[in-house]
Amino acid sequence: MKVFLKKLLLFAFSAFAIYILLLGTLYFIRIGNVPMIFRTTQGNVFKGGLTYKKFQDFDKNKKYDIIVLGSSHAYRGYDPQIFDSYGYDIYNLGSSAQGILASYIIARHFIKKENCNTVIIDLYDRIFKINSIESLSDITQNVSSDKAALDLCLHSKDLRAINMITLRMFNKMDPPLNKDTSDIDRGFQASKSQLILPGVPKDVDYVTNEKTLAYFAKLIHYLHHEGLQVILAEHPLPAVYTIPDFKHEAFIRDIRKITDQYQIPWYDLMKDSTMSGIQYYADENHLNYRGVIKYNHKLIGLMQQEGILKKKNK
Amino acid sequence: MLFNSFDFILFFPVVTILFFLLPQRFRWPLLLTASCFFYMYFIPVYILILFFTIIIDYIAGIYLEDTHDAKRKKLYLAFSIVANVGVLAVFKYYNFFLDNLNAASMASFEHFLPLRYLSIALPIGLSFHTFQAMSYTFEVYYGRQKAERHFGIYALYVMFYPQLVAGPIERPQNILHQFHEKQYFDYARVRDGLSMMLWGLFKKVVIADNLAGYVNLAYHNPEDKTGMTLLLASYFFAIQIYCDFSGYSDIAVGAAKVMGFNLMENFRYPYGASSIREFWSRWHISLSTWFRDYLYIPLGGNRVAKWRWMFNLFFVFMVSGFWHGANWTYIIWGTLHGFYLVCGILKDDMVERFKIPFTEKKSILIKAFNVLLTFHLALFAWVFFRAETVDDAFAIFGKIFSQLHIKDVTNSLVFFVGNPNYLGKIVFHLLLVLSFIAIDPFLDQIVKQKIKIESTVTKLILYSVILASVILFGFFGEVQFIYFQF
Repeated sequence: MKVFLKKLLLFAFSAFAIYILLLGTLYFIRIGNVPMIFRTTQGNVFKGGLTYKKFQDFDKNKKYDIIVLGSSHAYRGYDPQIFDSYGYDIYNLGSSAQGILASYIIARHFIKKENCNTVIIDLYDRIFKINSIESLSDITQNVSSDKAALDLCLHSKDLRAINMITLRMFNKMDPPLNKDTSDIDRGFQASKSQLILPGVPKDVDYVTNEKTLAYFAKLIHYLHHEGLQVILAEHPLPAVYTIPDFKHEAFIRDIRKITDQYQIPWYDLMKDSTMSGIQYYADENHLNYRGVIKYNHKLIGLMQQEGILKKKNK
Repeated sequence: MLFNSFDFILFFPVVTILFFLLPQRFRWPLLLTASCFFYMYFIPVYILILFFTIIIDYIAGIYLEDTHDAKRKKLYLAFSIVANVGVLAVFKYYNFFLDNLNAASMASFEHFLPLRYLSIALPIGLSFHTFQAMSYTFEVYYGRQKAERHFGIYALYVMFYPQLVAGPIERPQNILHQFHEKQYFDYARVRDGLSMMLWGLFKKVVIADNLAGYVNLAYHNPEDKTGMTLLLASYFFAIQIYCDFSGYSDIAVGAAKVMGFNLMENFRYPYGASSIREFWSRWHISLSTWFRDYLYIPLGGNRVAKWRWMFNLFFVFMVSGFWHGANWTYIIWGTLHGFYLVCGILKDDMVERFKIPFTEKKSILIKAFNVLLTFHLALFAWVFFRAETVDDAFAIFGKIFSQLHIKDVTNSLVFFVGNPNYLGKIVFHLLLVLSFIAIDPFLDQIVKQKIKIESTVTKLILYSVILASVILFGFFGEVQFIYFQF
C-alpha cells in the first residue's frame, strides 16, 4: 500500500508538470494573436470585455444603494442613469449566463453590509436550466479576485474549471485580449438590437433543480445574514415567448419555499401586459433600451409605492 | 452515474477504499449498495425493474437446478425468458410496435383509432442487464453453471456497477465465483486497472466527445448538409462510437480490476479486422458471443445445410440490430452485417471453387486492402446506425454519392466549427484523432499488459501525458455514453 501511495504521488506530480508544460505551450503559441489554448480546450473565454471591466470598476469600499445580481437579464435590464434620476446609486454585477451558484460566489466575495443596502436578484425560470460553463469561464477569467475565481471553480465541481483557473494564472500579467468595453456604465450594457418576429423560440421549460435551489437558499441566507435588503425581480418578456402558466407556477412555488421565511418581495413582471409588444425587446429574451426605460421606472415606482425603497432626494 | 462525471471521481475511490478496508463478509453488501446508488443516479424508480428480473431469475435458477424433469426445466426457462423479454418488450419495444401497428392500421382502415403510446423513459442499460440475467438462466439450464443460492451475490452478479449499464455482458462462470472469493490489494493489479480506466477515459472524453458535436451537427437534418460534410461526419462517427464504447468498456474492466475482479475483454482493435467475420470477433465481443451461444448455436449454427447456415447468420444479426434499439435504422444496420457475412461465405466458396489468384491473406497489400474494405463496409452500416430515421440514412447516402466535391472540404470544416476563425479547433481535433489512430493499436496492447514496458520513467511519462490530455483536451459535461440508451 505504501509503495502504491508513493507511486501515485509521483504520478500526480509528473502529470501536473506535463499538464502545466502543455498548457503553457498552448498559451504561448499564438495564431493571429489568439493563444492556441482557446482553440484546443473546451469553454475558455478571453480575458476582458464587460465582466472584466465591471469588476475592475467596482469599488468595494464605496456604499452602493443597490447592487444587481443575475444573468444578461440583469446587466442589460437595470440602467444606473434611471436609478440616478431617483437618487439611487446602483451597480450591476450581473454577467453573461450568471447562474445562481455564480451569484452566490460573487455575493460572498463582493457584497457586504458595509458596501451595500439592497440587492436585487434578477431571477427567471430558465436560469435554473442554464448551462453553467459560459458563466464559469467568464467569471473565472474576469473577476478581479483570485479567491473568488478559485472559490467558484471549487464549487462548480466541473473538471473544466481546472483549465480555467490555470489559464487565469497564466494570463494574470497579460493585458485583456477582449478590449471591447464600449457603452458600459457601472456594469450596465444596453442591447441595441430590435426583436423581429418570429424570432428564435426559446426553451420555455422549467424543471426543479435541487442543486441550484440549494445555492439559491445559501445566497438568500448569506444576504440576510449580512443584514441586506433582498428584492427579487423578473423583467417582462414578449408575450409570444413567456413560459406556460403551470410551469411558471412551479417555479414560483420552488422559490417561495425558500424566500417566504425571509419575507422577500418579488416583482414578477414577466407577463406584464403593458409590455407585451415586441417594441420593448432586443430579442426573444432581453429588453432593448426602450424596454429598460419603461421597466426600470415601473419597478422603482412599485418599490417606492410599497415602501420597499425609501424615496430619496435627487 | 456517468464514468466521466465529477461524482464518479469521488464515488470510485470511496467505494474501492471501503472495499479493501471491510472484512470479506461485508464486501458484497457494500458493492450491492454502491451498485444500487450508481444505478439510482439516473432514474431511481427503475431500480424496481432490476429487482423484478433479479427475483424472477434467482428463483428460476434454483428451480432449474432442482428439477430433473426436462419438460419442467423448459417451462422454468421459458418463464424466465418471458419475464426478461417481457420487460424489454414493455419498456423498449412497445412504442415501436405500436408505431408500426398504428401506421399499418391507419393505411388499411379508414376510421382507425390509434392506440395510445406509453409515456416512459427507457431505463438505462436495460438490454445489457437483461441479457446478463438471461445468460445466467441459460447456463443453469444447460447445466454449465450451478444455481447461485446466495441471493445477495446473485443480485450483485446482475448489478455489479462497473458493467451494469453498458456491459461487458458477463457470463456467470466468469464472474459469480469471483464474488465469493476474497480479493486482496495487489499493487500491480491496481496500477493496471487504473491505467485501463485512464486510457478508456481518454478515448471517451478526448476523442469521442470532441467528435460527437460535429457528428450531431451534420446528422441533424442531413438534407441541409453537403455530401462532404456528411462523409466527414460519417468517418467521425466511426471513430466516435469505437472510442465511446470501447472507452466505456476499458473503464468498466479497469474499475473491476482495481478491486480484483476480472471482466471479459470487449474490444480488440476492431478496425484492424480484415473481414466482417473477424470484425465481429473484435467488436463488442461480449454481445456477439452472447448471440453465438444462446441464439446462433441453438438455431443450428453452421452445422446445418448451407442455406440454413446463411439464414441463421442473417437472422441472428437482424435480431442483434433490434437489440440495439427500437428503430428500423438498427434493424437495417444488423441486417446489413448479416448480409456482409453471407456474402463472405459465398466469396470464400467462389475463391475455393475457382481457385481465384491474389487472395492469399499473407500478402501485406491484400491484407491492407481487406482491412480498408472491412472498415468501409462497417462505415456504410454505421450510417444507418447513427441516422435518426431510415429516410435520413438514404438522404445521407444520396448526398454522399451524388454531391461529393473535394473543394467542399474547407467549407465543411468551417461548418463544423461555425466560424472560419475557429478552423484551428477542428484542425487540432483532426490531429488528435489521427495521432490516436496511429497509437491506439500499441497503447491498447500496453494498457492490457500484452506489450510490457520495462522502463518506469517511460511508463510514468506516457500515463502522465494521457492524464494531462484528458484534463486539457477532454470534453466534459453531461455527455452520456452512446450505448447507455440500449
